Amino acid sequence: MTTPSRDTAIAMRASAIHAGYPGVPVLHGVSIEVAAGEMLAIVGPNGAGKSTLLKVLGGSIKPSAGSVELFGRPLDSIDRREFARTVASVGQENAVAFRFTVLEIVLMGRAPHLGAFGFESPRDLEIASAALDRFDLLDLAARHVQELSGGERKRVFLARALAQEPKIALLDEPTAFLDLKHVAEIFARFRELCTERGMAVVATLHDLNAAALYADRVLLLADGAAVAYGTPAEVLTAENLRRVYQTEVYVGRNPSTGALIILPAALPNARA
Amino acid sequence: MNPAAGNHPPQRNSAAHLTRSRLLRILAALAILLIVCAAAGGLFGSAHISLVRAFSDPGSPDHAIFFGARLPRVLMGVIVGAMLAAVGTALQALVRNPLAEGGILGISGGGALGAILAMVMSAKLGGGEVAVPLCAFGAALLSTVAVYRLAMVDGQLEPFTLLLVGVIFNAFWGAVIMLVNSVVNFYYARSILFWLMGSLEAPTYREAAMVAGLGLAGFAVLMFQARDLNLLSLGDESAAELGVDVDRLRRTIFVATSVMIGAAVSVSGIISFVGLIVPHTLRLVFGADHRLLLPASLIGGAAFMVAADLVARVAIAPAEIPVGAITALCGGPFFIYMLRREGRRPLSL
Repeated sequence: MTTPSRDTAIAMRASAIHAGYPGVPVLHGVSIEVAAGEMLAIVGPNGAGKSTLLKVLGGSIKPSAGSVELFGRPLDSIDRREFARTVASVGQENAVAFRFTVLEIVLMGRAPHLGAFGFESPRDLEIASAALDRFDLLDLAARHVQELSGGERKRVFLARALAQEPKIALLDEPTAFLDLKHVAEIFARFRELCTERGMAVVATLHDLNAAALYADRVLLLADGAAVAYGTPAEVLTAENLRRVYQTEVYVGRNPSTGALIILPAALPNARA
Repeated sequence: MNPAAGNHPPQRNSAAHLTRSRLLRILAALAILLIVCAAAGGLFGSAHISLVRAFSDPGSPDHAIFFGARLPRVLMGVIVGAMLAAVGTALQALVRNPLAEGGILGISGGGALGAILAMVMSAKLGGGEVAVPLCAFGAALLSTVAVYRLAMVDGQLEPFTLLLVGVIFNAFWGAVIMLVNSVVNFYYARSILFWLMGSLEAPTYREAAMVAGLGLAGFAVLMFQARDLNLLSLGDESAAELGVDVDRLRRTIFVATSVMIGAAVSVSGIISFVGLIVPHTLRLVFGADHRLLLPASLIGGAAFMVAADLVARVAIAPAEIPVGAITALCGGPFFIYMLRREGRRPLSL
C-alpha cells in the first residue's frame, strides 16, 4: 500500500475540531485531511471519539469549534442534497422500519439525485444493480432486508452508499461482526473504488490489522485527541499502541508479505 | 464480488422494486374493489329500493332514500375512510411504527374534543361551519405534537412508549369529552356516542364536499413527501444523510395529517383502527414503498369504510350500529395480533 502524493486534491479537511454531545465534550481539537483516492482509518480505544469524528465529517454533528471543508468549501455553505451527492455515510446501526427489499434500500441511495416525486430511471437501476453486483448481492435483490444476516445487511448498506455515487465514503466500523472473508472482500471493494473512481474513504476501525493492511493513512485517537497521524507504519508502533490501549502490544511483519502484524502481547494471566 | 452474477439484473424481478406500471395496475385493481363496495353500499340497506325507480321518478320514496340518505352516506364513507387510512400510513412512516394510527395515538380524540368545544361555543356565537373543523384541526395538531414529543426518550422515538402515550391521551380526551357533555345542555351536541364511537349518520353533501376538499389538499401534501417517508424508514440520521430535511418533513406531516384528521373527525367522530388495518394489509401484500402505499391506502381505506358502514346499517336493521364500533370490533383483535407478532422482534413490517 503506497501513500499517494499529498498534493492530490484534498477531498475533505477538518481543522481543530471540537465537538460532542450536550454537556459532554468528546473531541478536543482534532485535525485530519483525506485526499481523493485515499483510505483513511480512524483507530483508537472505545470512547476515543472515532464515531463522533465521523459524524462531524458527515454533517450530523455540528462542531462547537473548528471547521470542515469539502473540496475546499466550508460544510455549512453546501446544500444538504448536494452534500448527499458528494458524501455517503454508513453507520453502525442499520435498522430499517418496514419490509423494504434489498433493491429498494439500494435505490434509496439515488434519492439525492432525483426530484421530489417520480420513479427511478433505467440509469438509476443500472447504478443500483452495479452497486449490488459489487457487493455480491444481486441474488438477494428481491429479499426483504429483515430476512438477511448481519453481514448481508451490512453489505446492503454499503451498496446503498455506493449508489449515491459519492466522492467520499464515511464508514463507521464497516466490518464489525463480519467473518474474515467478508472483511477482506469489503476492503478490497473499497480499495478498488479508491483506485477506479478516486473515491476517498474514511473508516473507523477497531481492527488494527485491517487498518495496517488496507489504509493509506491512519489517525490514532485517544480521549478525543490525535495521538499520531500518518502512514500505518508511522502510527501503529508498539510504543504508540501501548500508550493508548494501556496493554502490551507486539508489532511485527508478516514474513511472507511484509505487512504489519499487531497482536496483544500481555500474558493471559497478567493483570495490567 | 462475483462477476458472473451480473448476468441477471434485478430489473426483471418486478417485485423487487416499485415501477410505474406496477403502481398503476395495483391502484386500478383497488379502484375496482372500491367501485364494487360503493355499488353494494348504494344498493343495499335497511329498506329495499329499486334503482330504476330512484332514477326515473324524482317523487318516489326510492329517489328520496337513494339520493337523500344512501348516496351521501356512501360518499362520506369513501371520503372519511380514504383520509383515515392515508393518515395512518403517513403517521406510521413518521414514527416508524406500524401500530401507529390517529385513533390509537389519541389524535382523533383531541380533534373530537376540539370539534365538540367549537360546536358548543358556536351554538351561542354562530359560525359553527368554519369553527368546528378549524378547532378539530387545531386540537388534532396539538395532540400530534404532544404525543410525538412525549414519546421521545433521549432523542429516540420509543415504539412502546409511543403507544402508551396514545392510550393515556385517548383516556384523557375521552374523560374531557364526558365532562363537557355533562356540563353543557345535551341539546347542543349530537349524542356523545356519536363522537366517541364514530358514525357516518346523516351527512350532507355540503359537509362531504368540505371534508373532501380538505382531505385532498392534505393528501396532495403527503404524496409529495412519499419518497422522503421511504428514506425516513432508515432512521432520522440516515434520512438526513440522504438529503432529507427531517425537521421540515416532520412539521409538514404533522400539519397535513392534522388537517385530515380534523376534517374527518368533525363530521364522523372517532373512527379507530381503519388507519391500522388498511395500511398493514396493503403493506403486507404490495410492499412498503410509500409512493404506492399512500394512494393504495386512500382507495383501500375508502373501500373498507364503505363495506364496514354497510355492515353497520344492515347487521341489525332497522336499527343501526355506529360504524366506529364495527371498525373497532375488527381492529381490536387485529391490533393484538400485530402487537404479539411485533413484540418478538424489532418493530419492522
